[in-house]
Amino acid sequence: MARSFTHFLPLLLFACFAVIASIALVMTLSGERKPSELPSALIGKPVPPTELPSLYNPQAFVNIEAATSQPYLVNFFASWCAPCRAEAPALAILAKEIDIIGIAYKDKPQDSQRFLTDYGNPYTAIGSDNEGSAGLNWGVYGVPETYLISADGLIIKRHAGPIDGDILREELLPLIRSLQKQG
Amino acid sequence: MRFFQALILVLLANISVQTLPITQAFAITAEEQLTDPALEARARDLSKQLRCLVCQNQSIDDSDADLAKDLRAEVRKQLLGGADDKTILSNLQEKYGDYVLLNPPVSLATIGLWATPILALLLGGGLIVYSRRRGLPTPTPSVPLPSASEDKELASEKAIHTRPIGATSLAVTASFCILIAGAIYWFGLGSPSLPSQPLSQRASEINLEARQAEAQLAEKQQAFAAAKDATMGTPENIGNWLELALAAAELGRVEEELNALRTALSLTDEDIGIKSMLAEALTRSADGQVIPEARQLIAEILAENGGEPRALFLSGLAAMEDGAYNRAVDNWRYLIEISPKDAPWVSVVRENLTEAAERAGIALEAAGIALEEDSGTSPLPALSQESLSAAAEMSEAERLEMIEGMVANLRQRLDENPKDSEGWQRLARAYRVLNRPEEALEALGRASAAALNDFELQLAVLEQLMMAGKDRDTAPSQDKAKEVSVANIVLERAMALNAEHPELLFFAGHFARRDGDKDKARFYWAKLLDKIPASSETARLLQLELDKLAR
Repeated sequence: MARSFTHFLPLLLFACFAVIASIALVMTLSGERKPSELPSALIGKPVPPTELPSLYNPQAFVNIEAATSQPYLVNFFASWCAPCRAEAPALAILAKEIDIIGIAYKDKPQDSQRFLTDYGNPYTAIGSDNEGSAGLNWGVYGVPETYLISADGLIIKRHAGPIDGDILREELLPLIRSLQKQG
Repeated sequence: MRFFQALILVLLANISVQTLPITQAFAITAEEQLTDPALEARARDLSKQLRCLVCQNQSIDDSDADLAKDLRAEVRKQLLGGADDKTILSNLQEKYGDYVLLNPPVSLATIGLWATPILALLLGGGLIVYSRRRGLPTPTPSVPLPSASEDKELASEKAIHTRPIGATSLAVTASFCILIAGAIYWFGLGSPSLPSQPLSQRASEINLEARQAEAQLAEKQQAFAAAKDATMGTPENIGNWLELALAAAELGRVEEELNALRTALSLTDEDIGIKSMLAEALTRSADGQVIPEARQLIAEILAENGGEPRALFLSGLAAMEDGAYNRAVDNWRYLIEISPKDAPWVSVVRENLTEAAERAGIALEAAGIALEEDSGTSPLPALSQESLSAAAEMSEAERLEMIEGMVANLRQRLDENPKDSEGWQRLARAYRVLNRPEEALEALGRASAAALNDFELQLAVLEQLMMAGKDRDTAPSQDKAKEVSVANIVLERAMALNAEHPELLFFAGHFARRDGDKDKARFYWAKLLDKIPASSETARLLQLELDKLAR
């Protein structure tokens, strides 16, 4: 009995490996598993304290604070970023549902302003992160990135890359609505 | 258990290589660096432990990404602030997650990652030990025991060697080989201590082939330029012209090849070899069409030497073009018969022969041709009457008689169907070969009359007329007068179709000069000179002729 078991052990091991590999492959192919997408380390954590000069009024400051009365979005964008143009329509739709704070990431203020003139300004407030230091604090690794913050100042969701129709309808809007009901 | 020692050594080697200082070029720039060398060394060390989140498979020390630069700056900022290495790493880990660390920490989520190799090693080792204990009989030495003076170790080793090779030891060897192969592969491709391969370098690899091709082209062009220089230096050297022709052929510059061959031909006394090269080049230049000039050359060559392989081959092609498949079969069959069995062209000729025979509806075997390579050893086949191989054995007179017979046939067909301009041209060529200039001129006149609206055919007739004139520069003057008068009629017809065509202008000038009308010749050629690029070889030669006319 023991002898026949050792005979088949390698086959068994290989079968296990093959099953795991196939599941991973199927998930990757169906788009369920995205190996290059990084989880945010900040999910469920309070927002990193952020104070940035306002884009349109450098003397004033935009503060992202822990406690607000409503959930809101934080969106990192830049005029030099093509996907940011692509997500402009989605942000315009979102702006009707929820406050969006924009952070102009590593961008000259006049360029950001021109970008907003050209593609629309969905933001309630815009901070200018010239050095990208706020981006570092938020764990941003590429614009656009969008964070959903709950009313009690916790990061609920991070989306890296442009917001397209699917993500808007199936992920962000349902989440936002459920948060707003709670609030 | 020496095997396990080796295994562990290999594994240790991998680990130590991974942590070796990396010594190649990095993404870091001078202005990023800290002035304090100790702090800078720490910054570099930390950078190597941090993953660039954009590239994901490079450390921030290696990466050129903007984010990597920011992270390097952040590391240095925190270092200047007095933070220790651990704090800096954990600060970044807090923001970017475990993924930012190239060495993932041992945690519940990563335990599988860390434990798998050890588990695999233990499992494999356990299996081997287990099956060895169970499956193998205790070794019994099959050699006589060593004498007491011999080393004991040696004895035990001998005992091991004489043991039969079992499945287990085979498996051990196989896994060891896989391990070694993996290690070699990893050291060659996977190790982080390998220099990075920027896209630009790899692109250059891809471009290397293209550049090699370019270099080859440049080489050919150089050869061509050198050959050209050589012909300039010693224009009377035939070898130089032939080399130029070859170099031009390599580059596909047909015009220059033709010019060189023509010059070489003019330097020799109508050398058959060069003539056949010219005929071949002409055919190549016409995309495989055996043009009238080439046909003319082929006829001349074959008249002189019925066994010139190139001419025989081209003659077969010409026959195929005319739909005279039987003639093509005869030509090529003869060519194969006279060629050495290992001649490079034999296989091509065989292919062509098969096709021609198919079209002619001849069963090659029935006609006595074995297509096998050993056909040479079989006795010469019985040949059909119209076969050219028979013609080769004929005397000159007999051969002429055969050609005359063919010509008479053609003439008869043309009299029945006088609209066949190309047929008339073929007849004219045949008459010229038979040295019957009067009839050749007449045939050319008929050829022109049969194609009043075809400019190209008129040009072809003019070309033949010019050739006919060249053939017989020593002939009685009435020949020349007749030639010019026929030419004038053809010229007039062609002028009506396209008076400005350069080739036509050339012929017009040529025949005017032959007629002795220098002014008219100069008029046409000056007009032609305006139409061709001033720097071309043709322009230079034409200018020379014009200068001669002016004198």
